[in-house]
Amino acid sequence: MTKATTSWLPVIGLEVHAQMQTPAKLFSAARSSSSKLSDSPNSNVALFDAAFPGTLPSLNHHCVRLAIKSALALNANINRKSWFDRKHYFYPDLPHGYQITQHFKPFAKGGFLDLTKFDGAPEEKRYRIQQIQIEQDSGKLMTPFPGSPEVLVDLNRAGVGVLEIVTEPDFNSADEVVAFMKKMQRLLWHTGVSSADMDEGVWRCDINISVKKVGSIENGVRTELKHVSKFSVVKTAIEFEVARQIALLESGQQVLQETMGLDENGHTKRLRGKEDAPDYRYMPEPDLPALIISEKLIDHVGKRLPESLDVRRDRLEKQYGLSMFHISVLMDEPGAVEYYEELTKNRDQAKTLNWLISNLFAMLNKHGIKLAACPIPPSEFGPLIDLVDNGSLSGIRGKDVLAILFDDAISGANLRRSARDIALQNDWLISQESKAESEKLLDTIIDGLIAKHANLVKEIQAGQIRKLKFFSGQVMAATKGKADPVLVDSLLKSRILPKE
Amino acid sequence: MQGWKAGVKANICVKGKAATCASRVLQGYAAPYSATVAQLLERQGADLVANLDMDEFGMGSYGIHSSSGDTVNPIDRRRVAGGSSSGCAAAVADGSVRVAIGTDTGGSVRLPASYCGIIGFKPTYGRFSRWGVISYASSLDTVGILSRSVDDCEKVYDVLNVRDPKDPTSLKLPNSSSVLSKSADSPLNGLSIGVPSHISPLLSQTVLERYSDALYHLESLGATIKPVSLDHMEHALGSYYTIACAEASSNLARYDGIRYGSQALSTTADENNTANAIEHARFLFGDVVQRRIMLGSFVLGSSAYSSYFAQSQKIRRLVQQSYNAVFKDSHPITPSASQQLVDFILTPASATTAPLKSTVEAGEIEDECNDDVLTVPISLAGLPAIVLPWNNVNSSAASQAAESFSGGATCKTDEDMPVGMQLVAQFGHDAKLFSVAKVMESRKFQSQ
Repeated sequence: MTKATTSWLPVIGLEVHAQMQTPAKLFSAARSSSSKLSDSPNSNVALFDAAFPGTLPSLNHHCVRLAIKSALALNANINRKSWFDRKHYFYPDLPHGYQITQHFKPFAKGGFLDLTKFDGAPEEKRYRIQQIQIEQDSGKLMTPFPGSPEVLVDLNRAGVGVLEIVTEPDFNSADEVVAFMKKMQRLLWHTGVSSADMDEGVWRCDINISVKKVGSIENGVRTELKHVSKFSVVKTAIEFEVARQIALLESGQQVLQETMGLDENGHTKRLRGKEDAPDYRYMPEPDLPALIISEKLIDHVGKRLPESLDVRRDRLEKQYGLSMFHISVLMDEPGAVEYYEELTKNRDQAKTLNWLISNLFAMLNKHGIKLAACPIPPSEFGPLIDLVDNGSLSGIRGKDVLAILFDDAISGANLRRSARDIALQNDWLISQESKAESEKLLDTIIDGLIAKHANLVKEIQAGQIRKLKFFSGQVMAATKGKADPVLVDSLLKSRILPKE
Repeated sequence: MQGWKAGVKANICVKGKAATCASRVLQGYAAPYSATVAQLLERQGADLVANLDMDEFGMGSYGIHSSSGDTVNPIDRRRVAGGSSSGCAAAVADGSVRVAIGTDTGGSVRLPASYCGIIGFKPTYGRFSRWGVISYASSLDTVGILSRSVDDCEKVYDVLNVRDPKDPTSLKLPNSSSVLSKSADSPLNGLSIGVPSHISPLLSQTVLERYSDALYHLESLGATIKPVSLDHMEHALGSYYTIACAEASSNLARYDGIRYGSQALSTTADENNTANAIEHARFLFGDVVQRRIMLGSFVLGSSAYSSYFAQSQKIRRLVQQSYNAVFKDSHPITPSASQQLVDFILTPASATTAPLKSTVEAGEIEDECNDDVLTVPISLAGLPAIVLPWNNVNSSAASQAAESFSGGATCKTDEDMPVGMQLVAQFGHDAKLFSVAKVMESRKFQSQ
């Protein structure tokens, strides 16, 4: 199911909540457990986080820097003076009975994020940001024993710094929303603002959905879908809600202003209506002075921003001649672009890419390790590539060496052998003599084959290049698989194919 | 301060000791850490006496709104001690402790000091750390000092006058020096003391007489007495109560019985019904506290915010500017136009002497708020003030200094009860108060 029927246009806006990746929380020195779901409950809680009487907030400047980074990356205008406000409601996961957020004067206003086809968007379009604000995350409630009335409170997350990024209602389809969310998430970890983890808690969105007749100026009544974090549920949920609203309106009924959650099928369901919506009684936070951001600080942080995603994509294409596909593979993996650029210095760009994507990525996957935590740095991997490239090591043996390098690194062995050492110890190095010898042997085999299959040779020379495979297969069989297929291939080609 | 017994109000945390704020909501609560001000005193060798009684969460002017019962005035036990730092004032007045630290949000150190005949000091807002001081109204709360002599008060002041990075409202303020002239006979020569024109109609006969007497003495010591007009005073109380109640409703939202304090019910509830558990715990608040939370919640409501809360903040700014307009010293942070008339302002700290408990309980005093007119505008402006007893010289029971207090249950007439005079300086100019207060303290019986 795609977007609107011919007469209805979905109008969608987002509120992205991204946890800031800082060692400490927004207003206390407790360890910010952003994305560390394995921490035992209530192990990262300062007295302030649990709202003990007499405690006061202390602003973490690191969070302010990350807020500046995000504002710059999204082309937003940073308010040189903003302040914090209390948003009041009672809930056991909110120890103070209020959240410290920014309501009256947020950190930044305006801004935009462009999507192109490279981002998987249906079309090139600019999506406007309304504002960016800094706020606290709440704790977590759990009801782990079904049927039991017990509610457990874990405050590890209470007080973690969060950036709330509010967009204008510029989205007209679920596909746009998903593409935007992916790019936003990538942008946030790319700039070091948020971790790349997609765990619920690190990253979640509220989605405001309404529909209007195409051509109408007025927007329809909107519903708010809260706390969506997985990209996979977003599309279903939005499309269901849009269809639900259209059905209501087409049958002459009204869309009610409701807050929605999701049921087991990923369909929207009402949580509460407008009448039950709480009055948050916003009040400027009297314990914190206004936040004044200097030009100097903005400049300082700006200099430390990495190149924008679009600039990076452009550069990878022009500087390394990478395909769109390969560019997105690299850019999707935190640290991959940096790793590749380091690895490919003074090396063949295409071959290096192949080593990285086909071999290293596979190895990382096998061990369940992210590239950002790769145990083999480019300085160790590079020499391995060089060995294979200058013919000292066959491609197959090269892969074996890589596996051993990996195992060495993971096992934490003190002695970290170089690629060359490993090859030497296993007697895999091809010396110049042995190289010449094996070439001679191959020549002999090839000569024999050419003589035996003269007709086939003619066909190949006439254009049926694919039949070379028969020969290479024969050579491999004759050498019991030990020959270097790359070498075999190049010898066959040079012997059989007509000279240019 | 080695060996000094120092009382600590029940809303200031001392590690391991009870800090109940005189509330059933915190019954049995022991603080897991110490307030900065408590630590500073301990480092000087003071022996802390914690959890001194008070009006619940700082809300009250008589010391009769405590969950553990009323505090009486040691000078005349039929009378109230004043609030909300009632326990601190009584303990200092009857000699149980040498000094005490309380909190002053709208007069809660100054008023009981006046009723009990002792020294009460309120610093410039932000001078003393609020880390570990249980919040009532964040933008108004200050730690205050109660003592029997100005010297003792100044000593504690020097110990507590430290900027604390754990308190983001702790300001880096300059320290002013003595303003006294060199003359022994006219130490206050060259100083101007302001008398606000709106004050006298509020005062009882007794207080009016003491006030005149005090002014007369100051004049004889060389000071120039000037009438001053402070604008917007008629709106100050409304503004104060709006802001204080709003901030209180916010600061007290955390008392839900879940992480500390008493739980009226066991807190088992399903995820959709946690409201019940919270509600039951919060009904442990006393009447005054409940009323102020309700008022505060109302003025922060989306329909009331701009007319009540926002307006009150604007009035607050105007009140600050009214003081700026008369003080010679300019405000170090938010200066505004000034006619530069006076160095200090003097008013009584209470409109009457300590009322009888029976009068208060019978509801004969219209509301607790009248005395507030004398103390509240100073809190709104964040100004420093010192209260010292100015008692009836002629009375036979003129043992004003609590050192000679017998401890017996004497009944005193209104004329024999103490009244405190409140000396106010511009924002940040706390130290000046001590020099003048010492002169007043030592000279008050000399001339006639």
